[in-house]
Amino acid sequence: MTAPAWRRGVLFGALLVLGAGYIAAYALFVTHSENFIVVQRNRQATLFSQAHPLLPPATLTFGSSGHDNAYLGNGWIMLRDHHGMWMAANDALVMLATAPRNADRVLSLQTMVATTPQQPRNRVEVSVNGHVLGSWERGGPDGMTPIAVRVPGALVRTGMLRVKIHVDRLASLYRQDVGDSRDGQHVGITAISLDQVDSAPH
Amino acid sequence: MLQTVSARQHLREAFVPLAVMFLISRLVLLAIAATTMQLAGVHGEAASVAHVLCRWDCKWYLDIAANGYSPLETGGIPGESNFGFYPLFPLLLRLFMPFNGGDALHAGIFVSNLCFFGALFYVYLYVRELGLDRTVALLTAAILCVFPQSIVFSAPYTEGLCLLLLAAAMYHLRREHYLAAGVAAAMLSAARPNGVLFIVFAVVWIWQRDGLRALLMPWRAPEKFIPVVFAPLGAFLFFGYCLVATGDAFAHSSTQLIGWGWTFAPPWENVPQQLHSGGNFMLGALVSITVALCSLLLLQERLYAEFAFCIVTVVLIWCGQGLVSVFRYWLVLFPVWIGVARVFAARPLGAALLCGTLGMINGVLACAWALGMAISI
Repeated sequence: MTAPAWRRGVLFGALLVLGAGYIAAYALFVTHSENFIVVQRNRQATLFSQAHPLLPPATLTFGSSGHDNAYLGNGWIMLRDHHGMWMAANDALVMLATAPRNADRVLSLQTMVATTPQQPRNRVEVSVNGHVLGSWERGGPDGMTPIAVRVPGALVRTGMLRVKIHVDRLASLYRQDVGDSRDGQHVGITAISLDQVDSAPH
Repeated sequence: MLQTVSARQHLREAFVPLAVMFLISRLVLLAIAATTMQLAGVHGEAASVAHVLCRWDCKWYLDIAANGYSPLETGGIPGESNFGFYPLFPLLLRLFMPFNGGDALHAGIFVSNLCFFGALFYVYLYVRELGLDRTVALLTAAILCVFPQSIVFSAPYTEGLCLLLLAAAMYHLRREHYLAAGVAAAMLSAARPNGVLFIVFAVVWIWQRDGLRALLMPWRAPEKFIPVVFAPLGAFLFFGYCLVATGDAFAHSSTQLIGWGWTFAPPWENVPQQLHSGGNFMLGALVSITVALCSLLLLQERLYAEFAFCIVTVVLIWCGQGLVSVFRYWLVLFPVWIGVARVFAARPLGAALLCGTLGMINGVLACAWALGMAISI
């Protein structure tokens, strides 16, 4: 037996409304969602940093033997039997509160860029508060060479430096313990220094 | 005629064998797990059957049932939070906790076993609905009981619930109980993210049964689309809850990405990678390929909708970063086991060998489960 036309019409309309509801809800979800773990990690790092502002020259050390992991926002992971902190995402954040002065600062990153013979170079980009301050090709012999960037006074004046380190290629660290990383591209960091321009090493 | 035999009659004829299979398989697995703990020198509460059944993800479900969702990274590994788990199973635990003295673990064991027992009946009915004989139906149920790692059907895990809801949704769709199928499908997507793949089954079923015109002109028989439209409802309700609770509707994906490292990668990259990884990953890949090959048996039976559902599920799992579970993912794909049962049903010796082999592997995995070895994740 076939249902009357009006009943089929009502049912079809109701299903259409539900389907449209999914699309509207999905649009709302996409536009209003931020990765909650990223948000809460960055918030925690920001709060810690604001409570412990840096007075240049200052050096922060990271990893199991470091003391300043709380300054790190999202994108880092500590690996067993490895020094420093390692990037777990292509973008990793460090939150540095400092005295709001209109003076340039030098930010030095003690990075470790591990590459493979197939992909011997990796690009590391550093930005502060959304401004890209430079990018470097690293890997192989200069994989451990520090990266130094000059942070303009206009950014220092805000009192909060949101340092983003971006790398082009990164192997998954998931299942690192079983030696199943995808291609061996890893980037780590052992320390960060914030110096006044005149006292910064060349 | 099979069609004239009511579901009630089918249930009556199958009750005793299914109950016996359920009881014996559960008792044997629990005995193996308990004995393993004794031999390992574990005594006291940690060696109790209830505690032996709580391994791996169990603690997450119990945590959600007892304390609700929390955005805190409480898993011991950075990024792991209980938002990595869908809500229906913990909700059911919460419902049954008052009957178990407020204990989530015992409620979980009760719910899982109840769901698995119910699922066996739905699977039986489903096989009979396909027009296959009683032997195939019972052998399918037997395979599910003895399949490696079927201990999770008795543990506080979602497998029993998902099997029940999937079999119910598929059965009711084939019986043209569209609303019941839709409700089961919606619940399925609230139990597990890949539950939404039921849509694939429903769409291909409509296509196979009524042709492409029925798909292109849904207003002619909209009731057939109730299960399709209802299927994502459970997942969307969870997304909405996540948005309110964390500001991230996709909190499940977020924590799975950061905590568990789940990212998508094409299967042609993932599967060879798995095969070269060795150990459990290689074994997981080999088992997944075997399951994919077994799903081809469904084509022989012209069960295109079942095949589409199974193969899409396999491909989805291949796209994940790591076949962490060697056997567990495949327990719920019961249509594959219908295809296998169809092949072996006419060969009693082969069927006995199949069940015996699977049962032995299952026994070994029950030991591994009790000892918390990674192969039983």
